[in-house]
Amino acid sequence: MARLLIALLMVMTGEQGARAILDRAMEDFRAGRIEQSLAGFDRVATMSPADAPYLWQRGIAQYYAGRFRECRDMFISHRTVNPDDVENAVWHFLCVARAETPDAARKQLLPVGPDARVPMREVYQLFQGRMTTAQVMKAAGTDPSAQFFARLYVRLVPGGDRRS
Amino acid sequence: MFGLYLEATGDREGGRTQIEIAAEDRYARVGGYMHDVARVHMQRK
Repeated sequence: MARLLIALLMVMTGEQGARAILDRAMEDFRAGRIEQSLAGFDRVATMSPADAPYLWQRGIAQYYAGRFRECRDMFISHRTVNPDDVENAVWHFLCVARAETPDAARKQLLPVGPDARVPMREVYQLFQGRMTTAQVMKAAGTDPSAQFFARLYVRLVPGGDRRS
Repeated sequence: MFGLYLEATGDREGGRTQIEIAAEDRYARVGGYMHDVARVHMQRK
C-alpha cells in the first residue's frame, strides 16, 4: 500500500494542492481527527477522480467514521488498482461485517492475487476459514514486520480464537 | 486490529492484547501507516 501511495503522489505531481491536502488528511488521521481526515481524503478524491481508487487510507478513515458501506465501496474500488493486496480484502471484510454481518463478509471476501508479504497468504486463508490463527502466527515466525501484521490481522477472523 | 473483528462480531471485551502489542512503539518502523492505524484504534477505545 505504501508503494501505491508514492505512485499516487507522483501522479499528483503538478497538483501541489491535492498533495498538501492528502498529507494533511493523513496527519489528521494520525492525530485521531477522523472527520477532518475524511474530509481531506474526500476533497482529494473530488479534485482528482482518476486517482480516487488509490486512496485506501480514505477507506480506513471511513471505517473509523462509521461509514461502513462507503468504506466497503472504497476497498472494492481500490482492488481495481491493487488486485493482489490481502490487506484490501481484509478491510473490505471488516466494512461488510459492520455494515451487514461477519458471515456476509466472508461470503463477499474479495479475491486477491499473489501477495508476497509474509504472512499475508496465511492471513487470507484464515479469513477464508482454511487456516487457524496458530498456523498464521507460526508462518509469521520471528520477523518483526511479519509479527506486526500477524498481530494486526490474525484475530479478526470469525472464530479465530476457537480454532487456534 | 484485534478489536476490529471483535467489535464486528459483538465481543468488545475480548482480545485487546494483540492490537495493543501491534500499537507499541517497537512496531512503528515496520508498520508504517498501519501502525498509526493500530495506535489510533487504541486511542478511540
